[in-house]
Amino acid sequence: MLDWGRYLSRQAIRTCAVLLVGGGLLVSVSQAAPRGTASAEHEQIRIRLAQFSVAGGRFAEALARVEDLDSPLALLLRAESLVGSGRSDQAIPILRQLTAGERYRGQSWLMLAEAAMNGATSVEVNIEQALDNAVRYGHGEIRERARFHQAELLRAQSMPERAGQVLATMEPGYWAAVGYQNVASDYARIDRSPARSLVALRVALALASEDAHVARGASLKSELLLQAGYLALQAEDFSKAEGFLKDIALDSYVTPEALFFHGQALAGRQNVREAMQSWHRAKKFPLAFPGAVEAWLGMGQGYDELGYLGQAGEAFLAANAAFDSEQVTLRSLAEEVRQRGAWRAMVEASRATDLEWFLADNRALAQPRQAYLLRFAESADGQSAIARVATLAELFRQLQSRKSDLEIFRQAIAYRQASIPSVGELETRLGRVDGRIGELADRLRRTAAHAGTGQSEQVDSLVQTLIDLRTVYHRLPGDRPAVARSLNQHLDQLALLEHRLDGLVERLVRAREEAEAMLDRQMLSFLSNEEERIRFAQDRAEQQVVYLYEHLALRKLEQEAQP
Amino acid sequence: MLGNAHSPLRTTWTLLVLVVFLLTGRHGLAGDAQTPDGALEIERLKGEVAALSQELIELQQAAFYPADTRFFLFLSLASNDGLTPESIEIAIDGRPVVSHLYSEREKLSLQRGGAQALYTGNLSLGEHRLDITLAAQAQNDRYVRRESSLTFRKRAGETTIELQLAASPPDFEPSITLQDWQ
Repeated sequence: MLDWGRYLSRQAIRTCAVLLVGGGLLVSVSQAAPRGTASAEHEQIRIRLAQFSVAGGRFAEALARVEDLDSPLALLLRAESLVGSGRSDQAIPILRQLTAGERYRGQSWLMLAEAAMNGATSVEVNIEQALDNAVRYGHGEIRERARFHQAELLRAQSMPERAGQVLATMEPGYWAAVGYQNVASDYARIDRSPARSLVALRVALALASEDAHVARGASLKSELLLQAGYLALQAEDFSKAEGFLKDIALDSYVTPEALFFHGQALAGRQNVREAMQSWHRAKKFPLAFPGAVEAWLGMGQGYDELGYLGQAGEAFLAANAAFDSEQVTLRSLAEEVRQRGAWRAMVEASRATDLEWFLADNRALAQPRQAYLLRFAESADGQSAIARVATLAELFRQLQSRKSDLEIFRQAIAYRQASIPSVGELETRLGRVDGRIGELADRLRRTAAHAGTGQSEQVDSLVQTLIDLRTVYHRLPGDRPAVARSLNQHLDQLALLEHRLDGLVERLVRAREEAEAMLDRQMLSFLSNEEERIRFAQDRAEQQVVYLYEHLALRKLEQEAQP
Repeated sequence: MLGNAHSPLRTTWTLLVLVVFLLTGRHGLAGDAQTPDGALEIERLKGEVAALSQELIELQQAAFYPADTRFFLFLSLASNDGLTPESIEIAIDGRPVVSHLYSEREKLSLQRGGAQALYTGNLSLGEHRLDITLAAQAQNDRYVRRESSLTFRKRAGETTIELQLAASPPDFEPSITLQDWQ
């Protein structure tokens, strides 16, 4: 017989049993050194798994992994998951506990402040104090975000200068740049001269270029340049405006508006031909975007300025036709919203619920439906309305999936209950298994005596499996009652969960109906305003055509009247 | 730039932000969006759905993965600077069980020490084969796609296997280490 004791002791050492069989592949495989089995290491794994779950937004999964752990990182992950899954009130005590400790104090203070600022908790939090502490204990992004919030609080109290002082203490990067952008907006509202605003925007531009996230920094830069160009244009400083606007990337979201302003700046310097080139580019964008409608009209005015009256008339007629067609599009979109609801007609039909596909589709902006959806989502109210329905739709999908899981679990548990063998049956099988294991062990022992080095490892592995099988089989009769009891408990738990799930589905359906009705109202109002905007532009185009015809008719009469 | 030739319309970072806003409901930076009507009810529902999901996950773990056949596979990076995984596909004994495309946040999490739960299930005792297809970006800006087949032995009791990805200079060739955490 084999020396079971020797193999059992080897099992306790726990080696890594890995063999490479995929020869010829470039990936190399190495055996890991054995680690200790201390539960601290398993806790570490659970924490690392929870970190990844939080990064993927799978908060329920993260909570299930770290619920009973109390290390600072586990507590932070629990708090993040609770906030992320809409349970900020439960997260507050955990965050308070962390703020009293040594680790993650800055992040915890910031999370407390943000939960209070977002109105996500009914628990009272001293926001100023929380931000002060986040700045004191936080580092890097945490400190910068906290400083940014401090500046925003001062702005909200109409103190942009003091907000600027706070921003001046920040490191260059995204948060400081956005802070200065907001301060520039305040100055633009307060001052008659754009000087202070432009200085703030220039600072913001310099800071945005330090953003480690290149794409985010580039997008912010385009927005800042547009803002600066517009301010310079308003102050009739056309050269300065042109200087800002010409640096805006052509693949930016603000490109059509920037092209229109760029044309205006050129026209302001009497460079109408080049202005028309910019407007010509702008009018290729959907009319939903700011600047596109104005660019269509600008083309007619440009020809008019240059004295090409016939072409001016044609340009205004073309604009008129485009505006007419756009109103038909808007009316049909509105009709679709009335019939199918805004969620299905605008969001689902735009495939905006599938982020990857929506972004991969380079026609997304060229379609009126998508363009108007994006414009609608520019406003905070629009975002909220869509986000409400999107959240509820996602929750509904999750619940449907959970319902199906419950049914599968019930069937599986029932199957397991039915398939638990009786004690007698187990004992009979145990006798047979012992016999077979003994027989196999003898054969292995005989084989081991003649085995080479490589074969010995395989024999060892098979012996180990036999030991495992024997251990498991011998445990089965003792485990049987506990397994049966546990399955019954699971069935009871399932019934409770199902009851709760049904109640949640009912509440969800009601909430979704209300949210969809609100989205419908807001979307219809937005589409109606857009139609009004296009109609107004069409009126202007028609007036220009009438003016031109009158002018041409008068000129013809004058020519005929001449001898 | 505006001064250059016209280029086709493309999706941009702004768009990404907009669509993320649209899908996640995160609002303006300065908190200028007011808490909408019904938002509290939605937050409550989110919390309750998450709690229910959590209980279901725990129940699932307890009910369907008996300790002796329980098998858990997870992935981590050996260091944070050698390799950034883009996607991974795994088959156990020829049966596809994992297909995952990494988001930016997930990549960052792995680089900061996070670990990805790849598969939880039941396996019989004895030898099994893992087929791994990995697409990743190495530090030298090279995109790599590698396929590998490995065997491991499922023992009695809960088996936890860690797949550790690494790529060392100078060639940053990916390597996979399997570690048994039994």
